[in-house]
Amino acid sequence: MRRILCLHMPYLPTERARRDGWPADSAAAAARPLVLTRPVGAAQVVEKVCPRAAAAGIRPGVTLGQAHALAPGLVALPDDPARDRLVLDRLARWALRLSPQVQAVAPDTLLVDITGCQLLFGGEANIARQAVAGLASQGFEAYAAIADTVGAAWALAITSSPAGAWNASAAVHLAPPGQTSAALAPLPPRGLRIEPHVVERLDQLGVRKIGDLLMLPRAALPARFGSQLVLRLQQALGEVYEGVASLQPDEPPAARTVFEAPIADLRAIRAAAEELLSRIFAQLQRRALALRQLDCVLYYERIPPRVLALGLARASRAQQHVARLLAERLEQVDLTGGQAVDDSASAPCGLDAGRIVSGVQRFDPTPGLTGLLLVARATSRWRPGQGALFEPTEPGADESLGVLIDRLAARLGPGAVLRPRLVDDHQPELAFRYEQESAGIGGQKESRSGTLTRSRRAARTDSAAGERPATAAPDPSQEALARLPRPVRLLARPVPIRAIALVPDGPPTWIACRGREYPLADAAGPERIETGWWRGPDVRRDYFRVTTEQGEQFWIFHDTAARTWFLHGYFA
Amino acid sequence: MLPGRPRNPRLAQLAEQIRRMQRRGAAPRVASGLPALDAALDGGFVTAAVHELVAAAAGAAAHSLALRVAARAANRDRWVLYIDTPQDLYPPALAQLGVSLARLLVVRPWRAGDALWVCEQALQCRAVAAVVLPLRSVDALASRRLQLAAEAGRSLGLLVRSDERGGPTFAATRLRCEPLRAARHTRRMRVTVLKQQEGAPGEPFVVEWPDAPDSVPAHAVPADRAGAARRLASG
Repeated sequence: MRRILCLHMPYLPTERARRDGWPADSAAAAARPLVLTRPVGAAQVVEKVCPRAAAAGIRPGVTLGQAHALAPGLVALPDDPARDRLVLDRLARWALRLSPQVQAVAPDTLLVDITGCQLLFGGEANIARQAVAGLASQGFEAYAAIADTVGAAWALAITSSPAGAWNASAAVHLAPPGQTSAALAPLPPRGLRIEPHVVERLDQLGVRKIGDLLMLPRAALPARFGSQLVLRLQQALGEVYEGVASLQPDEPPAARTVFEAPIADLRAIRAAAEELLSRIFAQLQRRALALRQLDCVLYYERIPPRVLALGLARASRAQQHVARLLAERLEQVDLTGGQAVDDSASAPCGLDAGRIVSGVQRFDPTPGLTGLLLVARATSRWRPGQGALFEPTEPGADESLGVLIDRLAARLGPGAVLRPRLVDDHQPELAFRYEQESAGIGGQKESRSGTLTRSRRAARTDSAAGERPATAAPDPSQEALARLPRPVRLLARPVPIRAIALVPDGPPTWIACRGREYPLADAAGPERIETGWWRGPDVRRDYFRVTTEQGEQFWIFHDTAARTWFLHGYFA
Repeated sequence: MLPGRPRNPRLAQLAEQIRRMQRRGAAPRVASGLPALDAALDGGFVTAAVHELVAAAAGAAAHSLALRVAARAANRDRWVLYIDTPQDLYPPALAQLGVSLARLLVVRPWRAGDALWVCEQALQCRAVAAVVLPLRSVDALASRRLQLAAEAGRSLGLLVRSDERGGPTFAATRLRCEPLRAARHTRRMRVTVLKQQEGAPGEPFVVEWPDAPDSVPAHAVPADRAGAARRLASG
């Protein structure tokens, strides 16, 4: 029988801020209500509230001005989820004293698998009490629950923490072994880790307790509330296994700096970033790690922090390389507090980025960064290659490709550096897909290209007369592919053209496309491509490879359903 | 300063220039496998250099020719990089041309300026054997940068230009490709050498190759005239 301890800390962000941003000696200050705010435009909006502020009637979502009106002595600090996450990770490592299996679930919960640990602590209630007391001594109010499953412990802990009222008593809830469903029955459904709109819909239907939910026919639930609800229910009842992921034992190497005054000068920020980077690499060196992903968090005065994620195609220890990538990314970000100039590859060609930035900057009177945090988000064990004894080592061919990919992805965005893969699909535009070549993978993805698409031909191949057998091809799939003519350039969207064919549905003898007319010398085909009705819009096309009088070759098709002709590609 | 070196910086510069030119002369050539073309180019495309293929017609086979050469330039451990600015490359066709998809990177920059930057970066990279970049035209400055990058990376740059007009560039060769009507399952083009590093531009000549089934990886085949001829005869 597994036993799971769930520790829920509903006020972790405010308690963290109280601890960070405040010398603990002023007892009067510690008694004042605290809110964490997030800038939205020119206004500060309350994001998280401490119990005292909640008691004063302040709810997340009101502006700071309204909050001040509700609670005169109010203290406001900036919200910082990245810091919260680091603190939660630290608390998870602290909880390793309870059990070796600890999982931190952002933003505010710890899961501990305490199966078999009861004897060491003199009963499981003692474990929970020690955990709550230990967290309290660090300044975090925790609600604990123990049950047979993660889902049940979660539900008990979440629903036992009072929303608004602040009482540290009765902070431990126990569901005795084997009585999970009885313990769950009186709880509200919001404890099940389901989407808020599902909770709302259940509430509208009068399902206010998990017990009510259990009485409904299980088979009818997914159609009405989505499949997630049933999964969560089964997980809570132990019908579907859900484990506690073990903690990554080390906290990621991180370095942080706070500027005296906001800085918008790229050179100064770059210098600061390089300083932080050298601290990160010193930590990596000590722990024999190589960097795979670096997160650079930019803190602004007026807008929420931005995270620049820098994925490396290959794990690296080359500090200069990473510094150059980081500089490349920093150049693209508007450091004064606006949006990134070139944040993603989705910006269409020729977009006037400058205009957008100036639009955002309108309400930002004091520009600049107030701080910088670098976190080595993903690392891997460093496997040093054998160095040469006399000559300076030249990086291997593969490593230098990784450097190239990183540099391209840093400037163009990860969606711009791609590896093609063939897909077994006979609809031409779906016969391949692109995979991003960045963020730590690659290298292991070889050896797939041999297995080429076995293009199934939906129907007839009338052109057999003119079709010559493929020359000695060792691979039958290669052979099948080789017989199908495919253009080097395929238009993303087929272009409608005019065509004249002597016979209906026969090969065309003349086409006009893109403002030019082409008498045709030859039309090879048709190759008919049809898709099944279950794939959505019906596709029925007769493809011809046509040669113009000048010798140009196009790939055109006749949409036999719509009776129109399209240009689809160039044999370029 | 070391003794024995020329003191005049201008002299040093010239010496470096001569050395670089000598290096280029020794650079290996990549045979296209098309006898007429290889004969006209004195054995093939010089590596560590940029070549231009000019094709005004979209349906001419200039891209195919460039990719064919790129595939031959890449051996088992080097890569081909295709800069897909128009965003319309069709990978299944590349497999037919003998390009190994396991050694192909496709980069899709949004801006033309980025495309040239990508080309320069990729040419400098030792792991990249060849870069294929379709574009309208290129100016002298960009061409010079690409040429230097290709020399640094000992790689092959293949620019497929759609516009012949424009000033002189630093490309090692410039070929004009014009489509010709061909028998089914073959490609034919008239090639004119507009510029060549050694030797004068020549008369136009006809290049023809069977279209798809280069099923044996191209780099495994030596410049195989007999095989090409046999395939032609069978088609």
